Amino acid sequence: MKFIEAARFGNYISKNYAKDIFRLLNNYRDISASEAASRLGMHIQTVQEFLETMSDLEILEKKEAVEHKRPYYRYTLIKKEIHFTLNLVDELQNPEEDTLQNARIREKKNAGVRFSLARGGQHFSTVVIWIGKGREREEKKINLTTAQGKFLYNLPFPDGEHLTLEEIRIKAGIEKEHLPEIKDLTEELIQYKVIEVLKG
Amino acid sequence: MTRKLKPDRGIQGLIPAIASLLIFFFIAIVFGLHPAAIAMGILMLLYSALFGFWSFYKTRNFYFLISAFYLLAFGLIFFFIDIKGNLRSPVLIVSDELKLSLLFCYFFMFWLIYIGYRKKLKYRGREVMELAARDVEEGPESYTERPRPAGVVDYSKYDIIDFANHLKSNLVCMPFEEKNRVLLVPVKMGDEFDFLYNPNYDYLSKTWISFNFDGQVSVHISRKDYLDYKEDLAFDHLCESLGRLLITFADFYIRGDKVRIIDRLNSVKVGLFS
Repeated sequence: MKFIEAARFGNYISKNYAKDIFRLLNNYRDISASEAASRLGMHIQTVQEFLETMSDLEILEKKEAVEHKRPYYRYTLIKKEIHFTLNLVDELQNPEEDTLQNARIREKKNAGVRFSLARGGQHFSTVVIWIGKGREREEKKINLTTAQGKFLYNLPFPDGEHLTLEEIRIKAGIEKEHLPEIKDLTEELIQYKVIEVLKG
Repeated sequence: MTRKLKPDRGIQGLIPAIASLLIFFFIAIVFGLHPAAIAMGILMLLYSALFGFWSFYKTRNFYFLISAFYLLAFGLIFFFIDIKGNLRSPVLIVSDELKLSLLFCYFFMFWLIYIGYRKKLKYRGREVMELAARDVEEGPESYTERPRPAGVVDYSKYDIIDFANHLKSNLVCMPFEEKNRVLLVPVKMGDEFDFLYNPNYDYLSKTWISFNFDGQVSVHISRKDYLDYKEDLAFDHLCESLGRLLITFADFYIRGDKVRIIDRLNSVKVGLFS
């Protein structure tokens, strides 16, 4: 299931009336929103939304019916079991990841950013960025993990040679498993114009 | 060789002398010559403690003791000097104590001139920054406040501490020891007062070269020091060069060629007071 679908499903399945509607759907061959609403004593709009969502998620089948020339829908339960599976690794993969993979980066000139050294002195603990202009200007402080701090410590200078994330990772002696958090930080800092990218 | 640093026109070093003269003449005019001489004597003893003994305590540079004893002897002269009359017609009475004080004063003064000429009392930060910038080209808008990893050395913790202490006693860099590293701060002439007398001296905001006990070397150049160069130099190259310079000094020290450090610094011809 896609993350957005799972979120919709989770939202509706957690309603206190969800089980009652499913019970009706299980007992009736098909049922309309108005029939279900009157049976459960609920507002028709609430039931309609629930049934529509379940239909979108392909848990119900929706068929158009015509009575007195006015079309409406009837819903049939088509699944006896719902398997709720969410692949977080695929789902939460950064959209920029592939483009960042080969990008060569370095600190942007006049980034106007402040780095604070961690106690050990070989990595940063925080980075402070100024956002906005004039009186709207405000400070954004990012607390860094050790891996992110080491990565920034080894980020090429504004006049240094651009390096890939992988090259910086190796130079900084960071384990490969920390790459996702480094990519996340890099994306953030590209957005705030602290890091410049030379796409290759 | 063209200089990369702006010329030093600071007069910080002359302030105590100018202040002393002003105080002397003020007291001499208002209270007479004898109180003025006593005031000068007290001032000299104070300078001896502040500029001589305290500098020695902070740097472990024994040459500061010569300066301290010179000022001490100079101060004693004022205590033993007996001037009758007034500013227009002073009459000097020379006692044996005064003669002895004068003897010591001359002795330490000539010694002081000699070691001054040999730059033994000169803070070498300026030479360090000149040497670091020697082969660095221009590179506008390249400054960043981040430190830069500058290499790795293979020395023990105690080698690094010994090296740092050697640089300290030769006034090349002032070391600040932390739990797992030593930071070496090159202090320029004129900036030594901040280092010597500021109890809240923020060495992390200065230019420093850190030697971690695991061998990692990093460099940070302060904006003030960077702007002290005539041109905007390529910052990455400058940091790398400064790191390499100190690693070279460390190599000289470990090999036992300590004198090469001073030779290298002396190759930069800068004035005694800059």
